[in-house]
Amino acid sequence: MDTGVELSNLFNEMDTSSWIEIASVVALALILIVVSQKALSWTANRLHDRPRFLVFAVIPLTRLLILVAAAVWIVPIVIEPSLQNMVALLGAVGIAIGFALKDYVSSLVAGLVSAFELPYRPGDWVEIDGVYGEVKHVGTRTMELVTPDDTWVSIPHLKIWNKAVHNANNGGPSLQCVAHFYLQPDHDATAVSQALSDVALTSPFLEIDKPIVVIAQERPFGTHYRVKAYPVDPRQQFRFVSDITLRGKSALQRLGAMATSAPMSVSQTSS
Amino acid sequence: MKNESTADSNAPLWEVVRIGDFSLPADSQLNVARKKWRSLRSFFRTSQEPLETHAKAEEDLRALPTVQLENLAPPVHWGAASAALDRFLTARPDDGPESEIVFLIGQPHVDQAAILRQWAISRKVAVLEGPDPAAILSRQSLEKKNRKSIDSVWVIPELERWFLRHANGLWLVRELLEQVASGEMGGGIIGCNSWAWAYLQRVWPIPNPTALALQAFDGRALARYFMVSSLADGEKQVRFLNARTGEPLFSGSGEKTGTEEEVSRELQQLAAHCRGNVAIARQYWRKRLRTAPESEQAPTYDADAASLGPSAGEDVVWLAPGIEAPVLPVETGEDLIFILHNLLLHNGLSATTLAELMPLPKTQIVSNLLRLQSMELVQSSEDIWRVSALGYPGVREFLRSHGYLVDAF
Repeated sequence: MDTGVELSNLFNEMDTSSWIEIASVVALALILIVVSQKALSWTANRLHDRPRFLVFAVIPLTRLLILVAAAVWIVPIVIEPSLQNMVALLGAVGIAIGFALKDYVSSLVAGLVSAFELPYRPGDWVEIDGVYGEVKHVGTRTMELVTPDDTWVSIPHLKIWNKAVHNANNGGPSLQCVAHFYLQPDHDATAVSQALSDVALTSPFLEIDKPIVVIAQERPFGTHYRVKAYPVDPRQQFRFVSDITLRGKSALQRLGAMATSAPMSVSQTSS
Repeated sequence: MKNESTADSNAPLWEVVRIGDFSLPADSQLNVARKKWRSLRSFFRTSQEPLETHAKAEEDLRALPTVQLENLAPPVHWGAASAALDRFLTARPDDGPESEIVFLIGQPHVDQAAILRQWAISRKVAVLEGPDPAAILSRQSLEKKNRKSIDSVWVIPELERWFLRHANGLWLVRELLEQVASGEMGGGIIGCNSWAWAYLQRVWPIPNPTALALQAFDGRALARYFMVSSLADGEKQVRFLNARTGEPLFSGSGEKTGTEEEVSRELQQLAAHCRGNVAIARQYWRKRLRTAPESEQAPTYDADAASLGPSAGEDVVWLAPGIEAPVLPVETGEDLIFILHNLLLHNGLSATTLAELMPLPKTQIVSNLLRLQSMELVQSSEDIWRVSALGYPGVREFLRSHGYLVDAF
């Protein structure tokens, strides 16, 4: 009985004006969040290079600031924000969360952490738990990415607690691409290496001030060449790799270097 | 940066300088702010609506007849630039092109090939022309022996014709530059487009090259150039007036030049917009020249300027306000970007050669070229497509802002 009285004492008397004020703050916060997210996304998508990623990085922070401001406004309306009251309220809420909403709240907290640690931002190309794609939206509970096959995947933020986040461009415009070539061992390796380097150097997608690297490695089935280079825009990565692959095959044919196909077990281990 | 207030009025209009001494014309802060405003407007633009609104005064003016335009702004005569090159080479304390390789870098529409061909004729030296694009791609190493056998000064007017941005298109220029750098070919002058130069620096970096360029034309130099070229036909003198303010752009008498002359802000802006490129500035100049109907020929600006009014035997030509620059929409696709970039890197290409360099079929390339042509961004002459003079400043800025390789000029 005493506990019930004490708990009810936490809360302020709520009249109609209080409810209207809370509803107004929530509505205003929602409108601001929607408008700011759309405006910033629209702006970022019309920018290029580093400014694009800077604007993308601001999106989750903006939402977080709006949410915090709304909470700071609403909490004193609902309760008297004394230390005693806060401890009692958080204790009650904590018990509820611990039993029923653990993962949900864990994702919310991870969302807060991700807004500061920035393991991924909109525009980044990331792989989480075997899913690779471009981050399109970083929400409060989840982040959404689009795979190269145009599939939207929603991933809860709590993955950052115990899964590796592979970020290919980490908030910048530089994203290394790799094109693979598998050749029979009997060929002029110097000529092949030069030809593959020229294939990358002459690609219209190439970010020319980044290095082009050709790596050759002997495998049981032949020689494995990897051409590593950077496209101007990370969104071009698949077209860039396709361009290098197609024109690389033509260049290799001219040199008489024959492609080889590896047995499945070998190719899987080599990749 | 050139100091316009102290410029020597007797200094030659055309000047060849080392590329380290090349300086872009200064732009006024007001114009920089205007450019940023225009850029902001284009950022929010979703359709092809024009950026510039036409002043009423301009609507009252008429375009000049072609014949008059040709007289007022005739094609650039590159002989003067060739003479400037000769002056530079002969004034050098060292031995000149006989003992080393000199590069002459030209901005788009600055015809460094014509400059060098004229210099070659005046100096009676051999000219080495680039091979056909098909010969480069088929790797015909036909000319190597010929190049080695040269034992006097030579000129290569267009280095951009010696390579293609294709996996099979770099061998020849590498071979050539290797021979050049090793001294095998002796001394000579190589002309190169500024965009090709930027690309070739990544393909085969030449250690400490002696690279020259035409000095940029600032507002004062442009004023002198336009005035001199408008007097070239020897007929009536012409007074150029700003259609917005009614003020003279510069003296048309030909008596006052250099420091005596107040250079209009319009010309300073034009010089800055065109990055000091006289050939591009001339196109903008031609595009903006207007004439008034006969009854309105006399300018109506303030009384103090009455003494500046036209005298008998003097024509009045108006400069329409605003720079009508064709621009690329913000959402331009990469196919169009690649076409424009390739055209700049090679200083013009045929659609057939372009199809060899692009990951696109020829039909799509032709379609895109026609689309760009309708936007006044490219032009075709004798089957060779080039980025237009009017479109170049906008295209360059677009490519720069999107992270593509651009020239240093």
